[in-house]
Amino acid sequence: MSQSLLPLGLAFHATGVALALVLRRQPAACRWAAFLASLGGSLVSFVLGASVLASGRSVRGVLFANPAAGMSVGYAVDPLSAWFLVTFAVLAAPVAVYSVGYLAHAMPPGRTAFVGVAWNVLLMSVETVFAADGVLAFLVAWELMTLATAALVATDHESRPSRRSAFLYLAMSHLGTGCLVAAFFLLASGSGSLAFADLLGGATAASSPWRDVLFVLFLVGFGVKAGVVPLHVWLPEAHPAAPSNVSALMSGGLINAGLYGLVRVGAGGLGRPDPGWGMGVLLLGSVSAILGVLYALSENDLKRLLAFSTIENGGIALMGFGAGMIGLAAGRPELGALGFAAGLYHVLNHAAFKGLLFLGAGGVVAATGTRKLEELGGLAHRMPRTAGLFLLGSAAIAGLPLLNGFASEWLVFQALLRGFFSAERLTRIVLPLGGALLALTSALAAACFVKAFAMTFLARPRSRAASEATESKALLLAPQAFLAAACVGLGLFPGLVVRVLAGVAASLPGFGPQDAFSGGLAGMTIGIPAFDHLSPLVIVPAVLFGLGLAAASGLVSARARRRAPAWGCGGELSAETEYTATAFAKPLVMVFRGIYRPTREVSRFESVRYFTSEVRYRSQIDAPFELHVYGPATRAVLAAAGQLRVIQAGSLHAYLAYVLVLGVILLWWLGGLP
Amino acid sequence: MTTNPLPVALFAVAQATGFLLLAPLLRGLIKKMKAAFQLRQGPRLLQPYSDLAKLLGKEPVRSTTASWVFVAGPRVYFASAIAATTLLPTIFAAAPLEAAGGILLLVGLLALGRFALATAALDTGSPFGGMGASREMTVGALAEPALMLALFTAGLSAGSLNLGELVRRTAERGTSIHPGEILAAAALFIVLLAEAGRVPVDNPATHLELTMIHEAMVLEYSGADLALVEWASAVKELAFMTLLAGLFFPIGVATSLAPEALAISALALLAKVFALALMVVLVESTNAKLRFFRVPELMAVALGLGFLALAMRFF
Repeated sequence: MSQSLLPLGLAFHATGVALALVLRRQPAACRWAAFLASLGGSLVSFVLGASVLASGRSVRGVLFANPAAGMSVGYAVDPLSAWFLVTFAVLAAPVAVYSVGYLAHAMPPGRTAFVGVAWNVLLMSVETVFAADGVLAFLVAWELMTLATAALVATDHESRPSRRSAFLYLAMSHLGTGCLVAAFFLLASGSGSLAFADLLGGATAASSPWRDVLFVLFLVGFGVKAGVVPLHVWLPEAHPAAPSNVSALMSGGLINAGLYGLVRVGAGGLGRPDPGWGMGVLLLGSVSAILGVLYALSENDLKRLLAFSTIENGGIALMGFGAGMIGLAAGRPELGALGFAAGLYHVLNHAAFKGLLFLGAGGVVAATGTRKLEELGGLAHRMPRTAGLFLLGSAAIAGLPLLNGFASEWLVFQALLRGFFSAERLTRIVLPLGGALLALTSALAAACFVKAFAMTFLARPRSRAASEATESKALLLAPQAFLAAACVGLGLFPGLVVRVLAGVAASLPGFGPQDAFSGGLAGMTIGIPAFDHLSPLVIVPAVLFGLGLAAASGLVSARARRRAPAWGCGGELSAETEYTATAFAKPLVMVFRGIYRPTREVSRFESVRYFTSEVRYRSQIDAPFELHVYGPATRAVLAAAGQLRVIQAGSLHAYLAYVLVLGVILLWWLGGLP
Repeated sequence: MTTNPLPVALFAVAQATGFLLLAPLLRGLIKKMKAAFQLRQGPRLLQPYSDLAKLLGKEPVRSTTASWVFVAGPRVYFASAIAATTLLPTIFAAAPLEAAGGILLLVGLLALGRFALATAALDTGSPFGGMGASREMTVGALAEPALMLALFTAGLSAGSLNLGELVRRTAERGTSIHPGEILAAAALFIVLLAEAGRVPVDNPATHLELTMIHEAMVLEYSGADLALVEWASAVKELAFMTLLAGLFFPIGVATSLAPEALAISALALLAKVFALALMVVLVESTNAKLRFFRVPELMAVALGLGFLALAMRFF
């Protein structure tokens, strides 16, 4: 039965595509048909993933076969694939429901069919990427995924920034896919087969410099999709440009495709990893986490802020993977398992809270028509439910206890600190330092999301649009409530998640059953004898006791409650006197000015001498990678293309001559071979 | 260590109550000692209790702009401080709820309180709240890595991140102190100054808005709301001192339930907290408050100390 589940899920999406095309003239019916089909497909792939995770046995099958050509495309869902399928479904299902409501009032009716088709193609291709068992199916699905995403980013194709974002995304994805193709061909030339199972045999046989080259190619190829700094430049452009339902899926679900590839390659996929690879991944993860959160903190566009925080969370997952690879390289697979489990747990959690936050942001943008924090505010009164759910998501992403972000960051800390006991001198000091960087990341994320939540929902509305906003419809709120419940559940029962992850880790090549960590209903435990353990349920009564005491203090105090305007030092407080998003982030921007390199411009105008009548202030933080890496690179490519123009004469005779010369060279070369 | 829920619950409630009852005394003690340094008489030792009682009886006045978040903030801050106390070993070498988690959970709960209060401070529409919240989150973010490195040093040398386990193992090891741990303790002391809002990071006595951090953040709170904030801050300060004493100076901690051992342990803890309070007073009385943008340098010192502690302990 389980063999037919993956084709069934894909068939749901194909039906969605077909129905969206047939019903394109009736937007309402088209919305329901396309996204209910998508929901069905996600539920099926969830069931498939969950059954593989529960049984621990891989499901294999054939997607399509052409006996005449002797070709068949198969799939294999092992526990790692299943983990990513489940993660994707947990996000895609609620977002599909949200899309039905969101498209109704945030999208011109004429675009419904387009979004419905591209959406279902995207889901189909992502599920195939996670399940492919050969290079061919993987690369086709990978490219289809890129194209469908680019189409969705350019949904609002009248706007030039949207088109540019889609183009940037395509260009960066090409770079990544190019590296992947090169890596796969290198492997295939070693093993003579395109099936993943045989390919990896070729890697273990390869000599060490070639293995390093392969690893770097894979790292770049998958790193682009995962938003790893410095390959992240497309992410803060493309994620916010897409409609909010697509942003949620891209941030919470699509970067996982890159992380999935990195786990496949890093966790024994290319044989036992080199210690340097683990260090490299840990370093890239730390840099992505710190830079991601710093840029998120300074950002005043709500959706861009969330996109930068995606880079941060991808970085945190990579820190876990890096610790895992260091453990594996040191011949301690049980420590490796801990690192990979921590990263994988964070991937699932990120899908839940980032999905929740993007959906909330989508509701805010739909209600107010703006993404600028400086034009929002006061929405807690107008949109109380959205506010409550967004606050929960903010607390989860800031890694605060009892919610899921804390549980997975806790596990990453353990992975970093446990590595300490095994390894050599360098790792002994690097790993705890990674822990300190993770602590900094997490604290900065808290500051960042205090800002994101408070500037959007608290105090007075800063614009007319914000003061007239209305609460989102139930169809938009229910999926957010589902994701919020996931954040709470994944945070309160980490032991159950970890138990599943122990099975996933044990299924990876080079790993086996381990005893470095264990989990159950009560919580999770690290190490024997216990190094540390976490049982959030035990602390819940203490928190409730504290809340109860606080409530009880209200009983002894005066009953009266008074409302009065806040004291404005003699003036009157208004939206203009409120603390702004820029001002909130200012101290940290100043502290980290070595990284931000902000440019400031202050000009004063004096109508009468010594009496300033007007001050103009402009502050800007440039994107360093665009400015100093990609800018020169783009110019170099364009200059080289200009030089090459000489041979592109536009004359037919010249082109015929080129063909002739090429033909002769080829003949000579082939003839020269024995 | 027992798994029976009833004694654990009683132990937890007793410890939380103990912290609640003693924390205002610590505040009073620090004020009294500071006054003595300045050759003033100062307020009574028990004045903080009277202040709390008075505030609890007053009606809270809340900003017309504020939403439910403003009301929730102090309550979550209070609850997180209470929950944090149940993770600390005090006079007996075990924490009531050490089954819940260790160092990381403790730090997480304190971060939860800070997050709740900073968010709520932005709700009134008054710029002071925003300024305080922004600065509090900045100082908190900069203190966090130093705090973690210092705690990691203690945890890794004992081989456990669980506070109860950690104190037990350190107590077994005896009184030998590694120089690395002295550095870690110094780093943690600097973090204590920052977290408790003490000079040179913040000045709890000032009401000059532009120079304050924590006080600016809670400027709009009044009545019972303010009482909760003040009380929780006091509990947090006492909890930090207990943590510092327990991790690095585990002399006299009772490892059995014998009454005389507990009595000695209680006296030892009081002496350690008194010593720490005296150090806080010395720092407060002999230093000026740092300009806000000099605070990162202090935090960098703490971070450097934490790093050196780790390097010394393990190389």
